[in-house]
Amino acid sequence: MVDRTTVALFVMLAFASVGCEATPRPPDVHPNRVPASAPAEENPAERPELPAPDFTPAELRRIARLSPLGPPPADPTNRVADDPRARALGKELFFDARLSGSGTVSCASCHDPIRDFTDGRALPSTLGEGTRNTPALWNLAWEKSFFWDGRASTLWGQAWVPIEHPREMAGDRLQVLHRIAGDRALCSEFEALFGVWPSLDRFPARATVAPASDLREPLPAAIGTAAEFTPEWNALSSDDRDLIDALATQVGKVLAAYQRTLVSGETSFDRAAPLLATGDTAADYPEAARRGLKLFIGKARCHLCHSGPTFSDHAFHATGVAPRPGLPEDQGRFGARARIEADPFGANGPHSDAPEGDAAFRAGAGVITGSDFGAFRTPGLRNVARTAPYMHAGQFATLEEVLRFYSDRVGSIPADPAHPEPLNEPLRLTRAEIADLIAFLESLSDEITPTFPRTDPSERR
Amino acid sequence: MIRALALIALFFVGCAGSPRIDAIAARARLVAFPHIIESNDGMWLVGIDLSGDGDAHTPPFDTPYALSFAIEPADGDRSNLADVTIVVDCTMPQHGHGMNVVPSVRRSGPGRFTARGFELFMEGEWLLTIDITKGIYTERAQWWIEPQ
Repeated sequence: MVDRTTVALFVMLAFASVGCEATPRPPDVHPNRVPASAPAEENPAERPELPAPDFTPAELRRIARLSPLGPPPADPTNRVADDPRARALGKELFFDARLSGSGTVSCASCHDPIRDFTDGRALPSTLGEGTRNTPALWNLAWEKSFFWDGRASTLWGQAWVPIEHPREMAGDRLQVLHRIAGDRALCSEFEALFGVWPSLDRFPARATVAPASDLREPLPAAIGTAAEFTPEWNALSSDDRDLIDALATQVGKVLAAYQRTLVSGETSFDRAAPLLATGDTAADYPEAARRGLKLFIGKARCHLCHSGPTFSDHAFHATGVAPRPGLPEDQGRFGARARIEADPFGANGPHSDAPEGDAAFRAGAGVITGSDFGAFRTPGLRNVARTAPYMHAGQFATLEEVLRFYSDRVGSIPADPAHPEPLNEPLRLTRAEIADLIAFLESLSDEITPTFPRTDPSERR
Repeated sequence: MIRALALIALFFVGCAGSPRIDAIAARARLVAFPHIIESNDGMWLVGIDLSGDGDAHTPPFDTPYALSFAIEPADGDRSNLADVTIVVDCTMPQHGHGMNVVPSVRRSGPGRFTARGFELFMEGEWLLTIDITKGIYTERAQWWIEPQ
């Protein structure tokens, strides 16, 4: 005979078993499609207090992501990134034509401060015409890779590409290092930051490392192989090359320290954004800009790529802009793979001060696929109204042309069916909507006037 | 009373090989993970911690972050974990692209992994995929996430 206790225990076990069987999945447990967040809209009871009458809570959240710009993130790969001495030295070098082979071209020749650090041209033309538009230098401290194709993973490593490019500054690292070593005052500034420089007397005057290829002159040799380099460079020992690269890194790092200071200032949008977030009408903010903002984060979908406080996702997208007439099709990001792997100045390279950090991981684990063909880095939009022409080859002279392209996509490259991108569907904007978007983009301009030397520093010595 | 305890003991011995009890046990081993999903053919349970520290339930927007997760065989046979390997990724199928990096996976114990290098740079839904391979068989677990 089973006693009462035993029966009770069996009953409890039975309930436990049934309970296990019937336990519903927790809300997060789903094998398929479960958004991690609640739907963006729309329970009026949960709305923030006094939302702006024409912005939904989801739109207000998007606006909050766009402002303020805030302080620049640190760059652990560059230990002098925020050293005032490095900034000052980098600023001098930025305007110093001795970085070029001929001694006549400085960084500022193309990145002209009075033109928002652009040259105002569709394509650069210093020692020869380039193939990609000269980007403005605002807010580089936030970027995760550099150049239109992101081939450089550090700001300090980026510097040497234009310096050594035959149609930009046509210099080379040994020549520049000899010139610095020959200027005792200048060299001592480097030594104060990085330690005593060795003698460079045993090295040749020049040893161009990599004549950077581009669309006009594709390199016949494989990138990163000895065939790409000059005989003078190949004749150096591995240790000597490392030494030269280490000193070149110092030049790049002080230039980067200066360029990190090129932070755009507060804009009328920045002043309006916190007001809008609390439901204020931000009466001082032009009505057209308000309408443009709503389009930017809504119908026009601009915010999907132009996101965050710099208005860039720092990623690469193929928007289908046709090549500039006279130039072959540009591979964009797809063509950057070999350069990234061969870069001695990468965030994960021997001259990085944080070879294990996030930037290093990003550089080492970067993936480039077929969908990156024709993809280019999303440019930030702060001060964009002052930095025409636009797109990677300066295809469009005005913001209106850019917006009209996204609106009707006339002349675009047909999308690759294997890599669909619904963002490339025509936006079908009205003329009034385009005008409103331009008004919003103009509200992203600051009132900063960059300070810069009025003469080449090398002339003052 | 002694008889009752003996019957309970017999009950548990009898259930030890029961698929239902083993599945409950497998799920119980993942209790520390905020999210639990099943692989597409139901062979695996995957516990996911999007933040890597057990707190956050949504990944950050455009910021590098790590992800930790645990694999448990749905049938509770943990001997299946010995040589399991995994590959993880995150993509936006609706835009035809993924991240700019390949996450790096490190095994921290039987069926326990951490993945570094997630960086969701675009607003919207991303498809997190975990390809679990044992021997010649690979089964995918997948889950939609949205950076905040």
